[in-house]
Amino acid sequence: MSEEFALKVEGLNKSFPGSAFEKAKQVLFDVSFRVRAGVTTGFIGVNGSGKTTSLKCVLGFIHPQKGAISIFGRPRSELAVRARLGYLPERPYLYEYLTAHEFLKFHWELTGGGPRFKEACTAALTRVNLLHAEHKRIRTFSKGMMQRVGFAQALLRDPEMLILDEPMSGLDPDGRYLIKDILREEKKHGRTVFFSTHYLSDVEELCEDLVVIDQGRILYQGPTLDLVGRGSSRVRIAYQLPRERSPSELVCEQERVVTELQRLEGRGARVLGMGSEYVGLEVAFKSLRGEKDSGS
Amino acid sequence: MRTLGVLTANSLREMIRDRTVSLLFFSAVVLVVLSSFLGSLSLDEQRRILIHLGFGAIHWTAFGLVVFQGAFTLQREIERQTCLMVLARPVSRASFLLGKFLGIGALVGAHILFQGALLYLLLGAQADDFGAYTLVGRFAAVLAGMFVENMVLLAFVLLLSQWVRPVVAVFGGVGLFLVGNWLEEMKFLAQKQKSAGFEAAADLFERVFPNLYLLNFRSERFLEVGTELPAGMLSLHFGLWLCLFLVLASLSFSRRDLV
Repeated sequence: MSEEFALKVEGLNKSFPGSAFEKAKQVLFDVSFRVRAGVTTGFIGVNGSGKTTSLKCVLGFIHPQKGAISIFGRPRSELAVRARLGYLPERPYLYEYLTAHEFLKFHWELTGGGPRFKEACTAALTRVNLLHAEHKRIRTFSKGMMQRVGFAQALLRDPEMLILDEPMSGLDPDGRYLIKDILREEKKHGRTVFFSTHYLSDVEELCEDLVVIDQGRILYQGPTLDLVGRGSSRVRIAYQLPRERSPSELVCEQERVVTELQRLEGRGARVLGMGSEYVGLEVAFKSLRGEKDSGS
Repeated sequence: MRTLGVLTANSLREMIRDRTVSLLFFSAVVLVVLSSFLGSLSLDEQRRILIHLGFGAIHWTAFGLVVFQGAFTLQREIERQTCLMVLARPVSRASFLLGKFLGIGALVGAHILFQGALLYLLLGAQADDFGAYTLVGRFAAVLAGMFVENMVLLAFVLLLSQWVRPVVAVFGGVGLFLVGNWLEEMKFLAQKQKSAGFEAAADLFERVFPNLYLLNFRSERFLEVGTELPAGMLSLHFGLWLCLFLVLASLSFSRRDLV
């Protein structure tokens, strides 16, 4: 892929008109972020933070008042660019009168048709473990099955980038595990994946990069590991004492680092390494939101 | 064109599998057949009753299909967010709307054609002088008039459904149907009343609304003797109304936020 960034969003502003006695409500404030090509990027934020609105702006469902969006270096408005995307909306409601096969055929035809539908359909349904329901009406599907057919639709054309809005919501543990497995495979194959979610543990596990949004403003974008490290005020020191075989570790507050190092030196210890304590995304996310609150 | 074909076919399939549509379709069959029995109760007016009730049944059920499908189809897609996956594909909103329009149009066309064929057979079976009433050209002109009227109404309801709730769009469609069909009567009454205000209002209404009465050939007299139809003029007149409504509906839909 020639482009470094699969998706660039610059300065998005969006407000929705209020009712007769309400003012317009601004939901996005100068939102800018980039999604690197070939990388899995998580889009996290609490409910109502602007994740879905941002994704809908990216796909052209909502028109921002200001801002620019480019996908693979092309303006979002170009229809051809959408043939390179696979999209799954939040809580997908599908055409219930169709069977899974007909639904996928419909999407296949919308992206140009072609002779290899049978193989593509079988492959997509096999991946989401729904081949047994290929000829059943979607009306008879459970919520989780609908989510998986929607996911099969996104995977159908082997797109260059997947944009997924809460792909794990409404799924039972098995379904969630299945989707995570697929995302891991996509990551292995170097596909660009950009997805929003509430499950921080999934993001931590799957995403190399992160975009954090809160109250319509981007709080963080960059590598997941950087954020996870940044969330801690404590430092982890690895050391080895002269008469011990295996190395040891200690964790201390940042202001006590010098004292601890002097103490270890006094004991003749060799310092092997030092870094921010790994705190997990949940703590880092809370800390990030806290930083913003205290700053404002 | 391919995309439009796929969208139209899907829209048509959606409605064919909809129970409400099936119900309307079979109601029309029952009404057309019933009009034949009602006609047989009368001594002299059999043919007239069959023609009026039969065409009336086709006209009203086709209008029912148009107004309900037209008013609810886009709103349903937006509320259930089923349109999002489609519009994430290389599909413009104008194509999506046009696909819906053509899908409903195809269904209404098939409905009118089927019920028309049924009425034609019933009429043929009852008429003594078979030929005069069953001239295919005149019969087809009546059905074509109904079809064009319904297409104009469909485009109008689709446009209206962009701005108001579907139920209000249904009422809007009914309103245009009534006003459009009563323009001639209104003009006639205004001339009779000799009121300048009434005449001005009738004149204004004629300019603002499409005169759907021009497409009404549903009479025994038309089938019997026929009249010279200004087909070119009518096509241009209603073609322009249709384009106007569709372009406005498409522009509104394209600018709309699909929240």
